[in-house]
Amino acid sequence: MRRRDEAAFRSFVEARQTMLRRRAYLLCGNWADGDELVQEALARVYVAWPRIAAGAETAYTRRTMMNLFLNDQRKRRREVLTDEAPEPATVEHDRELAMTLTALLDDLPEKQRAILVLRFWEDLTVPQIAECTGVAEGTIKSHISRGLAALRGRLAEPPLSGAGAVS
Amino acid sequence: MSDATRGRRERDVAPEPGELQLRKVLSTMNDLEPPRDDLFAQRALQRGRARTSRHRSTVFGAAAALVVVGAVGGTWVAATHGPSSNSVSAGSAARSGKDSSSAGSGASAPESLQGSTAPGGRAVGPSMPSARDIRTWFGALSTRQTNAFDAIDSTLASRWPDVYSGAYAATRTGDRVAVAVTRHDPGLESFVAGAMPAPTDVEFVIRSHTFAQKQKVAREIVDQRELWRSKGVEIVGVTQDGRSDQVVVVADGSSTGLLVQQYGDIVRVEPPTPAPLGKVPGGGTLPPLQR
Repeated sequence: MRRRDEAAFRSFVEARQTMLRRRAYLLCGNWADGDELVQEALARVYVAWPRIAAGAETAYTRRTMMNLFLNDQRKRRREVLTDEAPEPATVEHDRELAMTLTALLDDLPEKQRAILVLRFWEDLTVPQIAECTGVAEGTIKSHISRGLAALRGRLAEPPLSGAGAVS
Repeated sequence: MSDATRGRRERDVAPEPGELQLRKVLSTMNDLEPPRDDLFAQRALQRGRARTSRHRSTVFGAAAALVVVGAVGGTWVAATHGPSSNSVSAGSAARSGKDSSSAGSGASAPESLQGSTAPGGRAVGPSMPSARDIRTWFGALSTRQTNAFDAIDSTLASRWPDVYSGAYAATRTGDRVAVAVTRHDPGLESFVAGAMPAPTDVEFVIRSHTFAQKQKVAREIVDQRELWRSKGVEIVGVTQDGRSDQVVVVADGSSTGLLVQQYGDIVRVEPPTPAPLGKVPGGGTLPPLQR
């Protein structure tokens, strides 16, 4: 990669890393796995950087992340996990919030979880999600509907507190 | 209308129960600060560089593998099909038949037609030779003398194209080689004598046609096998006979005389006989030799 491209890549990462890491956290449920997902996706983006059209970097990175996440989850199902990933220390408020989000999305199928994040956190449209994940629009709508139905019970419960409290 | 606008409209039109709540809960993610990592961008760069390097290695590796496969394939094709686009291998009816009886007739470089079958559909030609096969005038004979001559055969054909005609084993055991030439050439003779285990292991005989002339005829016949087929002549194999100084064409059909009529006495036609693969009508083994 040329020096100029590399500088642009670095600027992109520095500008977007927080958003990328948050998205990865919502997908993976913890920072360690999320950061690994982002780093792996960025490594692939780096390789493809000269070929990515100007302005398409974010979409390309999002799509790469989604592909990696869904593929990785498929692989991980065959693994036996022996321990919890060590989470870095956070302030109490963040810890509670993180637990709330993790508990909310926990147990959802990966694809459903990814689609809900894209739809309701990133505010993407169904066609955009279809383009990003390679899933048919009808299937996406179905996933959204089922995901909401599954979460409805949790959303109705009161344990959400602090910054995540539902008013 | 942008996708985002359409998306908002979709939501406005039909918000599902729980949708707004979920949206609100997820929006709290924006309050969550990731653990501080000052080297995050630097690590991304380093991983990207490493991945690029691996990617490049893979591409180069694949390209190198392709080149190797191409080279091996090309060598195989060249060895299988010879310098022309047609298959060429050695061993002939004439030579093979005589190799066992008269110590090698000196047939070489037959233009063997791969996949040729007799009119009945049975393969009568030699099977596909391997890339390791080389041309030899001596068939199954392998002595110090024949091996020494095989080593210089191609040199003779290239350095003395207008003199060199071919070779054959002068004795049944192959301990003496007869080299056919169109005229005595002191340079060629001293070269051959020097290459043999002993200068007396070789004798020189005069023949009319050079190896190149016979090769040209053989190749032409192979190239025109479709034409010959249309004339009712099924070319099964073509070779050279160093002893008789002829191109031996193994052919089937009622009009094989046309070959001799066209090329004269430089060509001899022999009929194919049902023989196992790799056998010539005389029963000798067809050495899959290349030229």
